[in-house]
Amino acid sequence: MREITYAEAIREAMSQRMRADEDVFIMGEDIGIYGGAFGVTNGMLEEFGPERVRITPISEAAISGCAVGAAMMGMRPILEIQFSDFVVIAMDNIVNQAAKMRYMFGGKTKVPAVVRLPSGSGLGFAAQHSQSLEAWMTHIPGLIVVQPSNPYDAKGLMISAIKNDNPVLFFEHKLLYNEKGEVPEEEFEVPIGVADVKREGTDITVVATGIMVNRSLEAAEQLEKEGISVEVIDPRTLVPLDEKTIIESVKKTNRALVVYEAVQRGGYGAEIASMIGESEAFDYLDAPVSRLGGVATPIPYNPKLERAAVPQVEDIIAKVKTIMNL
Amino acid sequence: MMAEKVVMPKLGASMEEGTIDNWLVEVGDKVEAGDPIVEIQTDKITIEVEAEVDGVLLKKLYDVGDTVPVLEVIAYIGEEGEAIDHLVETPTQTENQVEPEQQETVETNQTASHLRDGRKIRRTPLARRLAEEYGIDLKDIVGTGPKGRIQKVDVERYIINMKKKITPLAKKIAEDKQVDYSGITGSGVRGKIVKADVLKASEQVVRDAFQDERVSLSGIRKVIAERMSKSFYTAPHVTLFSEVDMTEVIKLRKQLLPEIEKETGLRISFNEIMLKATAVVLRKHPNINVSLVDDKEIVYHRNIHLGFAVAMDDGLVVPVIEHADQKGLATITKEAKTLAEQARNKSLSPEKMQGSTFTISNLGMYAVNGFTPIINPPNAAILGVGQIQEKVVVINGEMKVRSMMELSLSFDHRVIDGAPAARFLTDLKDILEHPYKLLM
Repeated sequence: MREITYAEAIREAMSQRMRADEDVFIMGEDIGIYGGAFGVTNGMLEEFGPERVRITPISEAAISGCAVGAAMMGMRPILEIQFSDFVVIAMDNIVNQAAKMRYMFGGKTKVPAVVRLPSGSGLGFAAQHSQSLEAWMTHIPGLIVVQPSNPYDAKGLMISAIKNDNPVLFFEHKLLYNEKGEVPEEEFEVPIGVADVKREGTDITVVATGIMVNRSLEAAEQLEKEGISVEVIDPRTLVPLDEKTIIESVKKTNRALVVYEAVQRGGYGAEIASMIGESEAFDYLDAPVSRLGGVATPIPYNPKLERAAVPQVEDIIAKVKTIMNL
Repeated sequence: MMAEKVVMPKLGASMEEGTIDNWLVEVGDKVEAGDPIVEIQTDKITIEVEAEVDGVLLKKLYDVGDTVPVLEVIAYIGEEGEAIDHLVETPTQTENQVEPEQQETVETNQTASHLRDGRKIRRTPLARRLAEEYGIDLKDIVGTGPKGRIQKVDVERYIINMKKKITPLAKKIAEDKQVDYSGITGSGVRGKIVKADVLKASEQVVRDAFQDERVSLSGIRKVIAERMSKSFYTAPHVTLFSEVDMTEVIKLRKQLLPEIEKETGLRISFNEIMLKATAVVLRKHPNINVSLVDDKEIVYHRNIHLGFAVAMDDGLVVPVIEHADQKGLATITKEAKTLAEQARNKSLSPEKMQGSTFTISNLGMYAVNGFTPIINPPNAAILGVGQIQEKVVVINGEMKVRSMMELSLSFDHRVIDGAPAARFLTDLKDILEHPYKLLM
């Protein structure tokens, strides 16, 4: 199968939906000639024209308000928040409007909008441009939160997100944009709410999100050489969460570690860990369910400190060994 | 110290149960490792079971006359005053009757099982669940996890150590095939012994039964081995064959048989006639009756002492008839029979096996026509004697049925050459075919 990058996969999904459905359009800052901060929308202005590739002022509140309004009026907007950190400016529109409308109006209206959120650290963008804020969104009922970790999932989930009638917060990782992977050319959906076992194992279940999936797979590879068999599960969708896949895995391995880039305190990993502890997997636990998340600090600009602020492969290996009592 | 179990011993593959015949110590008595504790009666024998550890007999689980399955605990030995109630299992034969009581015991265990020395026992949820599933008290398990937490691995280790889990099918097969499964490592879930394990073990038993027996080379076997290989690898052997017409010897033996029997009570056999004939011929061939000593000296023996090989169950000896050329057939018969008898009884004195100057190996009593004997050092030659068979032979252009026998003469070519050996064999053939010449 041909290989494309994560960024190309997202662009292809959006373009294919825009060709198929004239209600779909994109909007955001510098997404036209500039192609967006990370080049995801490169060339889309040429194909679809300024009516459907709408370049906005630097105002996340305005973009998000427009998107919610357009969605309620029957359009399927995809908006790009240049850095996911800026989503906080759009919070009222997302949390108090987009998430609530369908419920408050008894289903008479819906908000089929996709909010694209380039997030994460690792590129030296410092404290205001490197955060992982998905936990904020997962707290709000009415919002779907997805977090693809590879090009295949990115395309499949984007197609599903665009087709979904609810507001979908689509967390992309900046470090993954250039990652290549096999992706089918035709349209396909990765269903929302279905986790993926990225690697099978027997000794411990590592539930990882976003780029931590890739780091956990690397850690698993190294741990295998030491005789430790790690199962890596990528929930892909944080809300709704595929609890069953995780629970079954933990029942098999008897141990669980949740790895996420966001600040560990109050992060979504805590939600997954609690879910495991409260589930029927509890009686199968042979070690406390553990979390491995980011340090509670604004992401530093210094590259070494930036690296130290979020889980790396060696941190995952060390944590797994601790849980394994090795 | 934890109380040690005393179990009904399994004294054989077929033993399934034993009966308590007599308790030799009372509860509270001190015992030392090796002290007999109880007498056990099986269907074959009565034996004493000994204490394996020092301590005090804490409890007897069965009374005299009780029949107990093998490997079942019959008593506990431990420290004085040690509590063993938690260890004592209900005897299996009453399992069904005491079900309600058992239920109670389990509940009591549960309420107390989270405490050890009044402190909470750390254990993972999985360890707790497994212990419950198997009816194990967590107090008995040592945790190896962080802070001494009991983990799955600890429970599993305990289960494997405490009792051999076996599937009903595997147990049935083990019993049918009389395989002792107490030593089998189970490959099933949590070390459970499954059908395949028992089958493998039973194959092993069968294999063991057909294992080659290994015996170290020692005693007479070692002597034979050393002497034979030394002879075979140092003396260049040449073997000559000659077919002898034994018809006249047979006639002679027939005539001598009653006479010698009258004198000695023994029946002369061809072996004795061969000894006599060989000795007489050797007298005329002193260059055959020789020895090579230390590869330096050739000894021409003045006396003719004939060795003759006698087979035993586990070896071969060569007793010696001294001055065989000077002895009559009756004497030779008597000596040969006595020596052979002594050899077979292993009562042959070593001096009777020494000093031979030539040896005869007679396989004529078997279906052996001829063979290449190995020289018996320090002799320089040996005569091999085959069986006597009636054969059609041509004599003066006519076919006749004669009793023929193969002689083979192996000689050490370092000291004897082919022609003298051939002459000796020719003369021997001649004297056997014309036995009256023995009188010359």
